[in-house]
Amino acid sequence: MSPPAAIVSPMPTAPVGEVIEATTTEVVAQACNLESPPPLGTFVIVADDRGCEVMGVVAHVETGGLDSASRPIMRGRDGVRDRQIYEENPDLLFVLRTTFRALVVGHNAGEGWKQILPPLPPRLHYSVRIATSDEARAFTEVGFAYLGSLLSATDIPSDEVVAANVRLAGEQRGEPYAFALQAGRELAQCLRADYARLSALLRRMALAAPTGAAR
Amino acid sequence: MLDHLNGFSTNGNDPPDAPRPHPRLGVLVSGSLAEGLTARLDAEASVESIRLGKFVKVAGEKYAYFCLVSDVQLDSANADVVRDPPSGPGAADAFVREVLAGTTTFGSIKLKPELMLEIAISGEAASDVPQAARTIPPHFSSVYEATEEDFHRVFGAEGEEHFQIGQPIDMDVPVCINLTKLVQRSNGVFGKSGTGKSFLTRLLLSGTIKTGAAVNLIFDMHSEYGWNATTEGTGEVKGLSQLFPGKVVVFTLDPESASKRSVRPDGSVTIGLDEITVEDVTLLQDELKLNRTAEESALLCEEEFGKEWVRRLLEMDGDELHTFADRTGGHIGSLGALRNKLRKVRVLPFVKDTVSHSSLDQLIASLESGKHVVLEFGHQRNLLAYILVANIITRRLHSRWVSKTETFLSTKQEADKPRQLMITIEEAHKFLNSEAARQTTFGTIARELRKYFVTLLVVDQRPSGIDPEVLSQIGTRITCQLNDERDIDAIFTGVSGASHLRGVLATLDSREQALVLGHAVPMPIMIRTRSYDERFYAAMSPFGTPAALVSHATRYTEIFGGEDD
Repeated sequence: MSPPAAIVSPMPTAPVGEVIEATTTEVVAQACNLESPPPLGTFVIVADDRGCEVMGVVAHVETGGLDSASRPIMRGRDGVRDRQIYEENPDLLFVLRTTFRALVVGHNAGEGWKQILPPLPPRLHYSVRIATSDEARAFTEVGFAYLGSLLSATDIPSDEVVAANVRLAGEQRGEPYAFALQAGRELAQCLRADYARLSALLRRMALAAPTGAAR
Repeated sequence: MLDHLNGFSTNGNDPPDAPRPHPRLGVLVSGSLAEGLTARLDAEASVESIRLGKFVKVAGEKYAYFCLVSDVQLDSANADVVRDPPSGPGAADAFVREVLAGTTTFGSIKLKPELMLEIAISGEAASDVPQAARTIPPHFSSVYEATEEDFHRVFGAEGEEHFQIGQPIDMDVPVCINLTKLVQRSNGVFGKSGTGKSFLTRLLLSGTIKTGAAVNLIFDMHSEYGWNATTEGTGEVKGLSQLFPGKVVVFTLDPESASKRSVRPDGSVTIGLDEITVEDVTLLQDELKLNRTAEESALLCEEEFGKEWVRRLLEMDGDELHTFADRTGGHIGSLGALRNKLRKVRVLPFVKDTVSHSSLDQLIASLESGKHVVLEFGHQRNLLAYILVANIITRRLHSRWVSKTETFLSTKQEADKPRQLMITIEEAHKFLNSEAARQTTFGTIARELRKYFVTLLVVDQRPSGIDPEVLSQIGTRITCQLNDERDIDAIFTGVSGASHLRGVLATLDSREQALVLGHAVPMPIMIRTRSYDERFYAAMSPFGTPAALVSHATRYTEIFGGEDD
């Protein structure tokens, strides 16, 4: 079976969010549109005026009230359910927001991608966009060291993030199985002391890479 | 792409003009010079593609090391994997297995470094002659499959000195032996019956004849070297005198058998009773079922009658024997028994009371003039005849070559230098067993005669029957399959650090494979024997292949002009 063609997106994509919190290791952004954040595991990029691009991997997505004081309450009643709730309460779009966390996995200060943390975190209120397939390819070409930082992150379902990222990146590269295999080998090195976790993670990845599994 | 991870590089996308790297097998992880090296196989290298005895190269920093694979193992970096193996039939387990292969679970190979070769540092000419490995490469040196060039560098290219004896088991590259070195020592071709010993012997003989490295005398017990011989499976093969017309002469002990096979020998050999010495008779102890006392009785007779002793003893009747025994103090019973047993010798058709020596002299003269001699035994293929004739002829050659060498040593003239002589004997354990080796000329030759330009090519299926002292002097051993432990032990007599080769020897196929080790090859190597077929005949022909012959021939039109004008 031939691998699916790479998703071609040569031009920088439109912004999907705006940085609202930035640390050295993590970026929190608010999605431009409610309920349309970048999917889990996606490579996202924040550029700044200094010519530095920071690469992140979406690790957590959350939708809730605008602040902790205004917690959403149940709105469905009298048979009004799901989509109808939004149609009957147009204000919801203004009191709710979707945020996503992206773990910083590398940066490009004009000398190509490096899988190390940037010297400075991204600037607040700058745009977050999804990496093009060329950028994702260029970044993964450097190696798989970034998977190590994903694995060691806490407070996120790191194994799920890794599996999702490997699947998406493989599709972007147009070689999901071969990429999963290489990534799997890197993970086997990282997790050599924890076979139970490795085995579970690889099985998850196998589900995400059906092309090769059907070989 | 991702080449640094040595992944994804097998997709054939490399530019075609990029220099093709050696196929890398793995990386060195531990080792010692005494115990050998351990290398971890890369994920891409299949364990199953590595065979025992494979020839590999390790790229160190200053030297390249040529090694033999002495063991192949399965290993894992994590014991948990082995306790809970991903062995299910599903796709997920298949993926896990594929990921783990080469990282967590991997093959390792044990290597025995044999040779090392200096790597050229820019500007400095590195030596091109590999030397014995005296150190080991550093950690994480890459292990490569040996290339054709490596084989050439180590085993030489076929030419004046080097002769192709076969190919490695898993490649189509010539493996050569150095014939000049080969003929300087006594050599052995060993193997069970039916493993291709005579083919290997034919190859070696063809090589020495083709290159002129030595002049050969072949005691051809089964009449298979001179003319056509039938073989298992492949029908008839050409004999040496057909391959090298004019260079090989065939003598026979049995002209009748030769004429029945439509072979026209160049001469027949007869032995006179007066040429038989006590040494010959002692060597025939088993064949004649002689008593221990027979040797003493024979010595008595020889003392009394000189060269004529056998004939005189055979002619004695009972009274004469009594008188002789009384006079010399011999034992009458023993003398009588010896006389009766020697009758067996007298009835051999090629044994005459007296001969003019012309046939033996002719044979020796042929050798001296550089012709190779095959002595066929025809129907006289019993050991009695073989041992008797081989010993008598070899003894004469021995004394001749010793005196030639002494002349050469005194004159130091190149013209006086005796030709290198190689004597091929089959059933060698009969001549070179512990008892016989001390008494016969063959034992002397095997032990010391390389100084006198005479060496042996010993062909035998029971190397354990050969005297260890002789075995340890054997220069090059070419061994086909052997099963008996004692025989295998015997092969490695006098070879240091050979324990890893035992395993290699044990995995030889029963046909057309051999292990070559010793003086004529820089390192031990397992080979597929070169086939003895039309292509080989063409290679041995002075004109080359038929195609080459046509291309070298001057065309009619070149001499007489074109037909159309």
